Amino acid sequence: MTRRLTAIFLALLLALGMMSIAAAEDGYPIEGDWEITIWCPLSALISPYVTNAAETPAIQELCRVTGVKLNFIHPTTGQEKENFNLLIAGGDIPDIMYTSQYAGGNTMGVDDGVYADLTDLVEQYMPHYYHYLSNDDEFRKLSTTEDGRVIAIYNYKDMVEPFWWRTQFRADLLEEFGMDEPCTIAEYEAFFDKVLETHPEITPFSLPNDGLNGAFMCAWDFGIIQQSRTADFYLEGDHAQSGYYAEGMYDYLKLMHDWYEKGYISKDFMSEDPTTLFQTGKVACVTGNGYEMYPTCNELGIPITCGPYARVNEGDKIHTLRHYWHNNAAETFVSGKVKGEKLEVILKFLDYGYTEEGILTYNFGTEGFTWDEVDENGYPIYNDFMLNNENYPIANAEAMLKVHAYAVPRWRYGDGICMATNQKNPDNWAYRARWGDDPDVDDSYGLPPFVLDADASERRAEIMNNVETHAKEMVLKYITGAADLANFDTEYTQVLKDFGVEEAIEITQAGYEAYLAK
Amino acid sequence: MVRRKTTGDRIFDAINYIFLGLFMFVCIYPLWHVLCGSISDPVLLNQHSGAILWPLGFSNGGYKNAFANPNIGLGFLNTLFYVGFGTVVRMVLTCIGAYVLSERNFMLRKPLTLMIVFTMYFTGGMIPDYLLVNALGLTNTRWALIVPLAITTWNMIILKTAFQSVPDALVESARLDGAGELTTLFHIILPVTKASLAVITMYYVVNEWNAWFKAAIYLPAKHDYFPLQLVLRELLINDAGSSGTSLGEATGVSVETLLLQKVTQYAVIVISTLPIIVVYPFAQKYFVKGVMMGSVKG
Amino acid sequence: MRRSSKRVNESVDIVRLTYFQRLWRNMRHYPSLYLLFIPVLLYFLIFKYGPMFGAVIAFEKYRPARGILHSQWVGLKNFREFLTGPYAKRTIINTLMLNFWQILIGFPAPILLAILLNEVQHTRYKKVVQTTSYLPYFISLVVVCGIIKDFTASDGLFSDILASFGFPRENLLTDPRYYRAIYVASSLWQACGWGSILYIATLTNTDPQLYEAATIDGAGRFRCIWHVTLPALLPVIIVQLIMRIGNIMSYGADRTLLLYSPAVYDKADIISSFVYRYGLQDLNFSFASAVDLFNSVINLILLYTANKVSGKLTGESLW
Repeated sequence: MTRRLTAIFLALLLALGMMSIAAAEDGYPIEGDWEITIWCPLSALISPYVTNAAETPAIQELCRVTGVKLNFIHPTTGQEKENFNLLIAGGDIPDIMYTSQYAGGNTMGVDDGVYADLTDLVEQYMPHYYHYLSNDDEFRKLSTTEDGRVIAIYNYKDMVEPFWWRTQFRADLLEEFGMDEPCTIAEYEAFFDKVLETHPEITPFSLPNDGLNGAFMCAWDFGIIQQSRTADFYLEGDHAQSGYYAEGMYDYLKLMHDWYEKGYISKDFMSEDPTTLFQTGKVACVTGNGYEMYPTCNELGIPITCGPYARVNEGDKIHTLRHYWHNNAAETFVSGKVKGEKLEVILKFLDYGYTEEGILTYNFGTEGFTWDEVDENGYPIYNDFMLNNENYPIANAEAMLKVHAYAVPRWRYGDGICMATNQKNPDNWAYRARWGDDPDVDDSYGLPPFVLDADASERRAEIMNNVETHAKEMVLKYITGAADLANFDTEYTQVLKDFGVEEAIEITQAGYEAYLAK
Repeated sequence: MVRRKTTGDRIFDAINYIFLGLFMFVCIYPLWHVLCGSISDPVLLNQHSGAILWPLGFSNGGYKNAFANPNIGLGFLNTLFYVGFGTVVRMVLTCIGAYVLSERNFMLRKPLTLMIVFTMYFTGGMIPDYLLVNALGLTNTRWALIVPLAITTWNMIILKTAFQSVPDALVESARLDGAGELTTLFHIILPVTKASLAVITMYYVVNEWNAWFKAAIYLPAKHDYFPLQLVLRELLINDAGSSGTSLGEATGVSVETLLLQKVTQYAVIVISTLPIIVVYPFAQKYFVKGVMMGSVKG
Repeated sequence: MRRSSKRVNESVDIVRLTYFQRLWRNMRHYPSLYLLFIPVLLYFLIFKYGPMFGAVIAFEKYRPARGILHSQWVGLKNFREFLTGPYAKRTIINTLMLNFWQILIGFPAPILLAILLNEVQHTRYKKVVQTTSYLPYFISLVVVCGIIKDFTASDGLFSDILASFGFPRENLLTDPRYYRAIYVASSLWQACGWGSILYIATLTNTDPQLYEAATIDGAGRFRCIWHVTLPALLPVIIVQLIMRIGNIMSYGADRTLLLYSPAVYDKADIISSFVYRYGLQDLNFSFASAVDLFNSVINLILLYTANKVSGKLTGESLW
């Protein structure tokens, strides 16, 4: 009798044991008392509440499910680069380094022993990450160095979403004039004329401080539509090109100069932030982050609407939209000084972000904490604790209650799916999505963000420092009329040539070809 | 002053007073601008342009936002330590150094002064400084902001000049009475140069009150040791919010934060400058007082 | 015969004491001076001279993990890169011009203010003006520059004033013609009151009997200022001027970075701001270090010259 009972008892135990193992993700929580230090900037979303990420509920939850104790080292805001390199100079290398930048380049970091070379370790210790690395060609090419080494871990995101950088207009003025959102240059000018005529206290338009606006440069088929660095390197067909050196620059500057003369452009565009100008009602049209401007303007009582990217003629094609790459930044390095079992634990911890459970944890938070149910697509629905938290407004709750977009790389869902803000305020997302399905717009000119090797990178940076200083000065001078566009060839193009811009382009091209060949 | 006032004198006085009055207005106005802005309604403030003559609406949102950060109080205490204790250490060392270098009997006066002035111009730079402080085990401790910054050469030179200006006769008469170095320093030199001492003390105090860079470099891991200015600076940078971070994604900083940005900045300025402004008048009495010391009689 | 030669030998010995023998004597005569100075000396040796050797970074291609001793040696490459770059001439000229104007206008102003304040008999008024005069110094640079950007905008306060005189409206800060003036004016406004403190303190130390003596000799107000006030200030003025001249190459980084824009690089880009852009982009510590060293050398030369000249002309010098 007792023997039978014991057998049943043992069988029950075994069954229970197997069930509990099956319930949790395989291998998590990690056994043992491991502590891992992470170096990462303190997110602006949590800094009003804590001084160290380890104090946030999100990280505490993460520690619970992964079984690892996390210690954070945060640099001082604004001094991230200096702090990181001084830390290294002093000999302390944190276990995980998130978006750090080593003086001398990151490949040098590996050579100097700061970063670990993970090439031989990824397959064995980060199987889930390795799965994406080996199955997604684009991801692999972008996540490895020129010679194919794995030295950093990146976010993975293969969902394409509507871009948030768009030209915004005063909706009430458009309504007053009976116009639709302008699309062609001519339509813009008609709108500006009307504003000047009927509302002299409002300036029609303003440019970003450096005078370069990708959302208009696209009309002449050059540049990149994004918030900053709009004249950076891009791909023209199959050859690299620099926005500063492109042919379209002359036409763009001519138009902007024309607009400046006519009084369309604010005389303060060089020193005032365009978004602020729009939100204080001084300017009727700027290019900005619609996703943020929309709710802000609603608060401030300014009617806002957005429009398509500018083109010369109706039906022109635009190719310079900023491209979404599967490798979604968040470059994360592992310390080159750690060896043995600790290294394995670190890698296993990093791998969590690519496991099924980990994907849910990082994108939505832990079950029962920030969400309880899923919808018909299997995506979690946020609960009240997340959406209407009494301590944190929704934007901050995203980072306080789940580890949103900082500290650790992971597999990412698109913003539209995983951001709690969208579940609370679906209008914001709808606004961002407007014009996102314009069939004439694509991102085929996007240049992959591959990494050049150290020498090439240094040489190119040397050249571009001079090129950019000169170009930026001249751009502003041409727009305001301080310099004459008639001398464009000698004063601009030739000077850039003398600085070696063509060599910089060739370096980029070589890097691109190496990337393709991987 | 027994001089009779001529017409020329009166005109000069009148112009002087008017000029100084205008000057005073120009100096006060910006702080007034900031003060009014800090208690204004955020929405009205954001829409306003040009000079602010009185508060636009009323709101304590800026101050609430600033104080909601738990580290303001801690930063304040830290700064009190760095300023209080630090100034004592600095003044002691600076006075000693200035005194010795001003003594004519000190044979090494010229070479040492040269050697010290030299250090104002040649420094190792941020990296060697950090490596030294790190090697000494001072990083991430409060001492990092006291010991490596114990003397500001510029101040010591100024004090040295002031000590040198003490009339020789005074020092001689003390020596004849058998006074040693420390006695001379404490009983003759220091009392006579009170005004200069007050100035240098004020220089040190204000400088340390406003300092944040060294703390940012030497205390990276210990945000709890941050002085007030660094806490406030982080607040300002963070509140600037970033649409589109390095990740290239919209992180969606909350609308509340964006709206409160300007008014919080102003509140922060007031919080960080008000204490010094309040303390200064007490130190000032050393400057305006008429001269009673420095008498060489007897 | 012997006795006299001994005496001669003695006097020769006294004259021929070596430097170190005299030093030893001095130390024995005034031991407390030397003892007192020890902590100060230690401070300078450890915290100022110690890190100085790290300046060797300027001659290397520094990489933090390798350390100062093991980074690659490149000799004068960083210096050459700076001095033969296309913007070297412009940045150096801008640095010198900015300093020239700032010294010309900003240096005498605190002195003038101190003198004017000294002439005020009404103590309370004097105190009030003084207290308010240092207020601008306490407002952080970031805020001041923000206010300046606001006021110089085409719809800002200054443009309003100019417009009422019939001038066209424009953004003043991004106009190369006005940039330097705005810079110097803003620096003046912020530093004048604070800078006058030192001079006022010096004047407080002046013996009132000197004034009485001058008045008795029939001196009017301006003569009093010329013969009593200014001479009393002279030592401090000289020292301040010498040290200011020794600061020329490194002056102006923070304010420039906050006020300038590419539109005014022609006039506004100084060495420090240029190096900030150039160095920060690639974390080129070596480059920044090299320019720092270059600046230091020039500063020291200027300082030495200023000191020598001042010594010859006025008898006052730093050492």
